[in-house]
Amino acid sequence: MKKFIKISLFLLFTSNMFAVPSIVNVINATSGHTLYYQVKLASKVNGYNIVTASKVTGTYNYLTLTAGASLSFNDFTQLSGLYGGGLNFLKQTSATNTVGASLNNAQSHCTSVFNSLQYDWAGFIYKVQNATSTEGSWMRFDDFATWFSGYNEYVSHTYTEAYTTYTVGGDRYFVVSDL
Amino acid sequence: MRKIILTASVLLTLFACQNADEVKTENTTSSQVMRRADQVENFKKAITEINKKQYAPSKEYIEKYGAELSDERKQVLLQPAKDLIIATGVTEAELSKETVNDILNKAFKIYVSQTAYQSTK
Repeated sequence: MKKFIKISLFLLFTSNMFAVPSIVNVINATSGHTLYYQVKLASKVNGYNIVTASKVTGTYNYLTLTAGASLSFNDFTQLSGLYGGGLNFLKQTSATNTVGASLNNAQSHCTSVFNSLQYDWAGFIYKVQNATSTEGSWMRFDDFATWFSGYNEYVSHTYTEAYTTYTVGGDRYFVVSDL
Repeated sequence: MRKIILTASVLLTLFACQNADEVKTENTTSSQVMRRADQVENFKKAITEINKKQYAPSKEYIEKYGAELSDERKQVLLQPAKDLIIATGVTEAELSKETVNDILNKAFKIYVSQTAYQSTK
């Protein structure tokens, strides 16, 4: 009996210790538009730290997802694997301080052992394929509404695509589709 | 001589039956694949439908439920989601034990696996 209690407590402790953020699904349901995006992980305690993943793709510093393609991940290592490595990570520790981070450092925020630091996927910076500006728009999940301003539903500048974020149970979705 | 003809006939019959079975299996598999592709397309249409502005959540809804997909939008996705899961071999009886959220997340998982991103690196 003692052994059983010990094992149960150990499993309970380790499952909390290695809790990872929600599964996030990025879905490009358009028939002809590449999605350019950066994904953000943030603390739900006070909004910081914010860890942003991106990749230099041509002239833009965005991850790309081709028309009709989708992907899922729940930590930075998985995301990096999907893009064959070479991701850039930035860590924003306050409103005025942003530093570069390694994959290992970014990943450590997905497996934080500190109870006070509960990280989850906060949202995305994205741009439409034909936009000439390198600056994208900010789209967030609503449980980060206290910390970040931004849309959760958005119709693009070109009025041909619609962008949405939502959750179903615990799973998160960022979807772009034709209108 | 009669023995040889008899043996040859038996072998020929067996071979013909085996070929018929193979053709039948191939037809079943390809029809299952086609059916699944149709259901993926239908689910995609439902994903596009709920992205329309008319389904955008109200300010009051967001304040109360946050980013959770509204029941109205879940209902639009539900039947295509069920059809997609059933196309993978799950029975309706098995599906009836699942919650709406579980059904939708399972259907999204199948959809993502069928449209998986291939990195060009």
